[in-house]
Amino acid sequence: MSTDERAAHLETGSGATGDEAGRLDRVRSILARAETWAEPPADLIDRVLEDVAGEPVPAGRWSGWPSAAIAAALALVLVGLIAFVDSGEPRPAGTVIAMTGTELAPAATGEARIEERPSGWYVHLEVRGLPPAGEGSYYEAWLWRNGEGVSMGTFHLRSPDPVALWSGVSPEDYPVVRITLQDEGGGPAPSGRVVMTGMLPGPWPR
Amino acid sequence: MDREILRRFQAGDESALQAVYRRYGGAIHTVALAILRDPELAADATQVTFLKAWRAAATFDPDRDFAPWIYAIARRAAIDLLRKERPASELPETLAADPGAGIEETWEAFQVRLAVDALPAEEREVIRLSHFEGLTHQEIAGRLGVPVGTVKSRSHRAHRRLVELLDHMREGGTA
Repeated sequence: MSTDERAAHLETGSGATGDEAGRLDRVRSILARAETWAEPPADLIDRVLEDVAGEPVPAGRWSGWPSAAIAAALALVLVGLIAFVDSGEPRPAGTVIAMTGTELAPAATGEARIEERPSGWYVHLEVRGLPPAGEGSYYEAWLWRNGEGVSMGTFHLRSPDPVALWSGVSPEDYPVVRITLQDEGGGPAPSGRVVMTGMLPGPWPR
Repeated sequence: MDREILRRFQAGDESALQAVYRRYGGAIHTVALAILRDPELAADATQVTFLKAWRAAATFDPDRDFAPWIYAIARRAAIDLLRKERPASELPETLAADPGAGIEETWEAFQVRLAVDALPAEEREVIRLSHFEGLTHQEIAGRLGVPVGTVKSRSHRAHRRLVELLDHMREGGTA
């Protein structure tokens, strides 16, 4: 579909079909919302600049090496070494995605630690406040983008075992993590009952 | 956004922070308002977002996409404020009652706002009058004091440009 045809649908609400129509209709819906056009207060930039003016030089920017910083850095290195030895295996570059519960599981919180491995992406999931899946149901974790989910595996939280998942697609391409509640025998598609979500907080670390 | 500005932002240059605010302030405010439904709280969340982004700027890689990075900070700031302001017992209802506040919905709203803010002012106004106020071309012409033909061509250009600006959403990419 050409740019002109898509522009015509965006303008009039008709012309496109299928997924394209759905996407353009979502944009039309967003354009009709008040928050799309609301402006922040005119003085907000001044408030922001006042905030940062009172800030110390942020970590990671060169500001010399005061002794406290050296001590803190050494402490971090020591903690890192202990964690490295404790794990028993090297930890490849990875990142942590903070997971939060939806309205279906508002008390749930957790982290998905994702590490790139030669065979794919290993995901170590830790959740708190999410009850074990009931009989006849289970949880499924997905990497997600724009309405498309790729399963990373299933679990039910009925035992204290850690949840280990694998993904064949990159979180760079699918930056959203979702956990859905699925019915046994309900088919392979995501149920739509999303209990937790999280998003890659920034670029994938290299 | 200009990589040089992002490098300066990452390095702690306040003038770059102002440039980042001009580009992303509206979109962050849109996300905050979608979640908080309160203009004053949304302004507070926007302010907190920039402070957190400033504090974390050294961790940002200026060669990567900036939009998902600052969007994630904005959404988190708004949700933290929501949890602080509303009793926990109200949260499920608050979130459930507003389907526009989910992670995908706010990410799309963020991207649409970025695209709208990138339009020339006269095209942006035609889009606003058409979609938000629901005016016809004739009514927009009357409001702006320009011929209907001018509104039609301006509207066509604006929608075409908007589609191009939002192509990354179609491809599943980022802003």
